[in-house]
Amino acid sequence: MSISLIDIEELLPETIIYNDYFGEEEIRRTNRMFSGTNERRHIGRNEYASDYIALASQRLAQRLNLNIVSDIDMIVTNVSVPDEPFTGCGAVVGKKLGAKPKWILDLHNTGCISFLYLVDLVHAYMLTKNVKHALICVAQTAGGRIFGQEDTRQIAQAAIPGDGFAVAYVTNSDDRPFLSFEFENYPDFSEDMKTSFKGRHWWESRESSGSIDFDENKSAMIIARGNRAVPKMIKKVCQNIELNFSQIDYLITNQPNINFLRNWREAISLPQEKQLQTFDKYANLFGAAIPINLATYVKNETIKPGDLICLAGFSHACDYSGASLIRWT
Amino acid sequence: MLKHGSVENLEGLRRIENTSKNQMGGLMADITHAVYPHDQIYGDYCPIQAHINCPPDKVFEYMSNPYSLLEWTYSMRKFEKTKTEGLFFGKDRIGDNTDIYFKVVSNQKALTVDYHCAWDQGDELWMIYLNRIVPAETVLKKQGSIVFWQNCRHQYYESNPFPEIAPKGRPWVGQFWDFFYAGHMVELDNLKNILEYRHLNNLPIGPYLNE
Repeated sequence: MSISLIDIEELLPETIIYNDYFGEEEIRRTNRMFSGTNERRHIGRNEYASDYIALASQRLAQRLNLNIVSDIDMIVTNVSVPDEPFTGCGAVVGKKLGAKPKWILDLHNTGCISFLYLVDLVHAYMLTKNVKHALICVAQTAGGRIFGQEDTRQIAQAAIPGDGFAVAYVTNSDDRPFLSFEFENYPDFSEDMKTSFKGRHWWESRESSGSIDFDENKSAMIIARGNRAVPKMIKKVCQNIELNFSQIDYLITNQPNINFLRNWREAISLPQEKQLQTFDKYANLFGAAIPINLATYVKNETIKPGDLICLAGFSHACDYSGASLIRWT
Repeated sequence: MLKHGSVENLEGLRRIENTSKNQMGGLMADITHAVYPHDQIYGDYCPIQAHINCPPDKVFEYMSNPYSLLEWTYSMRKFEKTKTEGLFFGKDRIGDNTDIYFKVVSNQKALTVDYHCAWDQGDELWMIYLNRIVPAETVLKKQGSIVFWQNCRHQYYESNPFPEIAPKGRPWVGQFWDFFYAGHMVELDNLKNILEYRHLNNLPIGPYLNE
């Protein structure tokens, strides 16, 4: 049996943040790595990822007429900046929903491509543990949590992250199966992106809010990695089921900046209208980009029955990359 | 008897004697892709080129003058002659406090201008920028010049062979190899702009900077 995507729901914070909220205007205007967005959403100080995930899950349950107790065996989450550093939020989501899943997993790796990683993981539980239905929850909260702070929002890169949430309901069935998966880990690159707190550790008392930094000296190498890895993964999933790039109806990737979006589209020779993204409106949604964009373009009926959709991306400074295909039956 | 090493004896050669036009057609179609990964084109070599609306002799005169590099490169500045004939010392401002040593090796008849450079030391000039100027009249039947500029990914780009003399904490030039295409295009554009402006306005070709 396959893992099938039955339905997917996106949820964005209501607070829209405009470009003038951020500092270093000159850098944002002149450097393509920090431009291309007009709006993004930020999670509020007293809101939690688990609130958004629970609300999106309730909407899915209502739409699919699910029995919350018997129709959810498993909840898996990836929250980019966790609500709680110690406990994870999957159990809190279960509590807020009133669900009784047998398995709850909170995972913190694979960042921007975590949606696909979680799907593959749940599939393994379906094959080995008889999981029948699961909620896959991806939350991106680094916008409000990290780049919405008074000091941090002054830097140009703060304009790029935006917050958003998505929950997918998947079942062990052939109703709408993921057709192929490909993943690669690159542990050598695991420390090229880090949080930075001006000489302090995040668990120590400190005066500054901190940010997420790339190793600037490796920027050329990181761009080259992303340019290589993502098309490679797309090529592999297509080869797995003997498809050509030209048979892909839509490409959805994570959306780190306008350059990567362009490069990946060009790499597989897809015209611009076949790339579904929301960078201008929601900015870099990290791991939430793929499921949010999928949900958004299914809802507005851009994606039509029969369309073949390629999902792909890489995480962090390219410590992980992956791709998958799904036909929207 | 066939001579040892003759083309008839060498395996893997594709010549009309052993590869039909039909086979060759299939091979060509296979090698031809719609797009080529950056890595495949600029992985080990970085070839770029541009048309410059300025006659080849003037382009040669300008490019072969070491001080022109002060004008059209992004970051090579503050040149001084060294005791070694033809060897210059300067600062590459793209690296923090980075010394650059270079010499210009040119051949007027062949219209080639090569820059042999290295960061931090002048004993082994291993970063070599190869340039060939071609009259555009010959190859494109238009006025001006074509400049072909090539770099090869020398093994030293992988890691600094002389780390002990590098400024502490400065990133190594090889980390930016994947940006060489972009960086060199920008500089070639500088060269084109300078030469075309001066030529089309009948100004001395320069360089106007000399330190």
